[in-house]
Amino acid sequence: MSKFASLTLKLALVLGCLALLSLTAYTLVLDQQIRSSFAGARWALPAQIYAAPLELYPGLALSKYQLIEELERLGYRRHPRAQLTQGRYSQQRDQIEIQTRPFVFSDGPQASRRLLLEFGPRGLNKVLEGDQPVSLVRLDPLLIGSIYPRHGEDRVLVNLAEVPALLPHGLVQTEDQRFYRHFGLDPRAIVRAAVVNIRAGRVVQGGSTLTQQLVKNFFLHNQRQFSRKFSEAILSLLLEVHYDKNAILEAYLNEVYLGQDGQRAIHGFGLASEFYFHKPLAELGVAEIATLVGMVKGPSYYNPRRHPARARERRNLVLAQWRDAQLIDEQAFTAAQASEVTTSGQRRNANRRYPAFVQQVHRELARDYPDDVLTAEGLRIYTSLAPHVQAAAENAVAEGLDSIEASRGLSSLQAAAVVASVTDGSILALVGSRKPGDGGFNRALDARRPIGSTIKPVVYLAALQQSQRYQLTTPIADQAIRLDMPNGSVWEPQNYDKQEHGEVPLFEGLTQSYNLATVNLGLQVGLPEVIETLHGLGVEDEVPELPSLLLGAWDRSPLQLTQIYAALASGGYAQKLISIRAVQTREGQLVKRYPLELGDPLPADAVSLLNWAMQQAARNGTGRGIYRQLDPALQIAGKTGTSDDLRDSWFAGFGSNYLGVVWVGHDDNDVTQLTGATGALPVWSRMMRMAGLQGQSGRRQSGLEWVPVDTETWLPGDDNCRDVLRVPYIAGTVPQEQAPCARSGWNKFLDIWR
Amino acid sequence: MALINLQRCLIMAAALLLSACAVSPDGPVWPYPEPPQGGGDWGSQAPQPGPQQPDQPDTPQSPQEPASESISHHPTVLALVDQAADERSAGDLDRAAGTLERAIRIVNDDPLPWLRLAELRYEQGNLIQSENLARRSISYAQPGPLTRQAWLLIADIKQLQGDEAAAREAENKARGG
Repeated sequence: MSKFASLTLKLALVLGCLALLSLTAYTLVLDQQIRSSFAGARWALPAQIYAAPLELYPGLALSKYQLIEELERLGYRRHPRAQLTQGRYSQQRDQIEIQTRPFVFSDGPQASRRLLLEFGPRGLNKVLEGDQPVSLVRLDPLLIGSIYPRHGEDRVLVNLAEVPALLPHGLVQTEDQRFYRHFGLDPRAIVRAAVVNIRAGRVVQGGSTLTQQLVKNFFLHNQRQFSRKFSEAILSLLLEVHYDKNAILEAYLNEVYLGQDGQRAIHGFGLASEFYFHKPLAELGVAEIATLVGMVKGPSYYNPRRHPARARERRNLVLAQWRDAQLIDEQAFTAAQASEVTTSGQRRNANRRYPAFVQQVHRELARDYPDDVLTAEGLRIYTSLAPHVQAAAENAVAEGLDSIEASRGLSSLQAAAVVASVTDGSILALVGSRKPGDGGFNRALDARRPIGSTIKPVVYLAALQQSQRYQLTTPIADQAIRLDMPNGSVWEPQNYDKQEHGEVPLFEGLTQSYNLATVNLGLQVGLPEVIETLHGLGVEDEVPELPSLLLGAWDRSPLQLTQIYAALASGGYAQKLISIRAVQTREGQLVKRYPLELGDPLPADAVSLLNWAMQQAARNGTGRGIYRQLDPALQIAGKTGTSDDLRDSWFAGFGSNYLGVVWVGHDDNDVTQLTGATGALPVWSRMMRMAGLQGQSGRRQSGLEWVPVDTETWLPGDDNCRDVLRVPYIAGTVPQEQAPCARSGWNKFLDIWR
Repeated sequence: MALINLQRCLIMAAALLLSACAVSPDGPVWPYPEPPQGGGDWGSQAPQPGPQQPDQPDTPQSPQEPASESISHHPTVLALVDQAADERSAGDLDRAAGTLERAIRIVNDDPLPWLRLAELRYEQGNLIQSENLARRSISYAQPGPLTRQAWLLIADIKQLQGDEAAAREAENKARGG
């Protein structure tokens, strides 16, 4: 008996010791887990991508309404002047007053500033801060995306010190009233919940503390139910041992799951604020904070976008709790309770607004950074996207195609558009589909189609570089040509109008887009020379040395064609098209700047002559339709393009600030019935008008001579000739022979002695 | 007869004179000298555009009237060029370059920030970028102090690259040749 009893006791003791030992071991393991994962970088932070900030300065061509549009895009709200706080603006007649948001730019921080902007008929007249004039100030840039892993978590980290005080207090009040008093577990709450649940016969209340909820989300989301409750309790206790309440609360604010956006999981109040209300957490009002806190209980059940009534009911319950606890006064309660649940439209959600551009950014980043860095380190990526140009491009593509389809009885057209800066080749806007926000096939990057006549400027530039041989008025034969190809076939190009035009001045071959003149010229100049010019314009891959290249039988994406035109627009400097300006660490340390880089220039004078010819093409040639939408005073250079059988319609052109390329066609490469002038051109000009295209300057390049040329013989003439055109020549290349109609200079001299 | 011949000669001379004018590029010839630019020192200021110089670089010009601007820089550009000068003196060349690029993006056809950026790249030993930037600066400028400075910079670059002939040619251009 006693032997048996002592044996049992011994066994129990051993077992107890073993249990204690394993519990200790287990606790140590968990402790290690907490230390390692909670102490360092707690979350894989997606890289954040920002658009270019709007630079405000006196003299900027920006109307009051354009600024308001920009402010609304950034989520600034309009309020009376007396209520101006961060993220708000007010408007009085020709003035707008803003309290900007603080922001850390790639070159340093800018604090929140209160600015008075005065507008005149030509744009922004004056920028004042207090009474002091400001020469330059930036608005915070639009967050346009983040790079998170597939099926991954996205979040915008917040500090407890920076969030509105109501959020942590309200959260504690609603979710875990004894948070500041318990040790990680709240026995009272557990008992209370158990009683309630037993009475109800089902689980209606949880007894979890905020600490337990954090532990469950942070450490245990993959663990099986059985061991989970046990681990949860131990981990909660350990967490409370190692960290103070505020650290735990801050982690909770950033960890909590608050909804789903497709494959992206919305974590933390910082991102939820952007996602549901399109503004930073600091600018949320009482009702909005209560809505988010209410969602913790069931993020999809109380989703304010999908279930506004439910979300409102829950919000008002939360508000009532807060009033009872005297977190808010009666007045704030009444106002908040009466307000509608207003979320920002999904459309406004910048994270999905610019998928085509963000894809390009991602591709550029992938050259320099491995994917795990991009999805985990919280890098800040500063890009060149100009939201107002992007909006112009998206609208022009959508409306332009609608209108073309309606007027021509067509359907299912697709389009792509790229706008880049003439200054530095940075990409300002990218449209990969006619439907804005479509994250599918990105035609701007990946649709490679024959570029047709948009290649012709390169052929003429190759010729004009041989300045002694070719001038703009040099006669070129627009005559039929037959070429035997190496594969035994015969190539017999034709003009669009199926006519031959005889001898035409060189520039007219370009402005009227004559195929025969261009092929004859290109063959005279030499295919290798044309290809070399292409390389000089920044084309890096191999170019097929076939005569059909001269007519654009060469597949390029809209972005690749933009590359070629970027060099033409800048005066002959090849420029890498880039979308990234700088990369910073999460802490604001500069990782890399992508500086302005120019390729070696092509001869400036030849590029100037070509530019003049492209201006003629846009003014009097195949591109003249642009002036149906653009101010005729603007000097624009541009070129249409159409591929065989009217499948692809292109327009590429530029002024002094922007260059743009538009492609219109069918995804299945079917015939569109559209030429460059009837398809891409109207979209291009609509886009450029809305974006604010500025004309090229009338500055005369030194080294050029401007000569009045008789338009019958295309020889230098004078006022005696019936019709003259002022044509630029590279100094020293003006033809000696004068037009018969000219009665000046030597002609006159000779007349006298005749 | 002789009288008629003399008359013809006079008419001829007048006609020659006129025709010489007619075939020269239209638009006024650049008035030398330019407004004082304060020499080649970094950060030197061009005069602030007064009310009598309304044609700032960003004012759209109609294609019919070629630019006859005396150089007047946008005040914001000048402020940034100054700021870049400070950053450069403080030894932060990268930041200075960023500031100049910001100026260039605000007014892209003002030769001044292009030239300053060229000088900065020269200082950083990036001769190729320096030359290309200097050439682009020249493409936006009328002949004057800024183009002279740019050509002298190119001459220095060519010298460093051991291309004596090109260096001499650039120096000639700096002298207006």
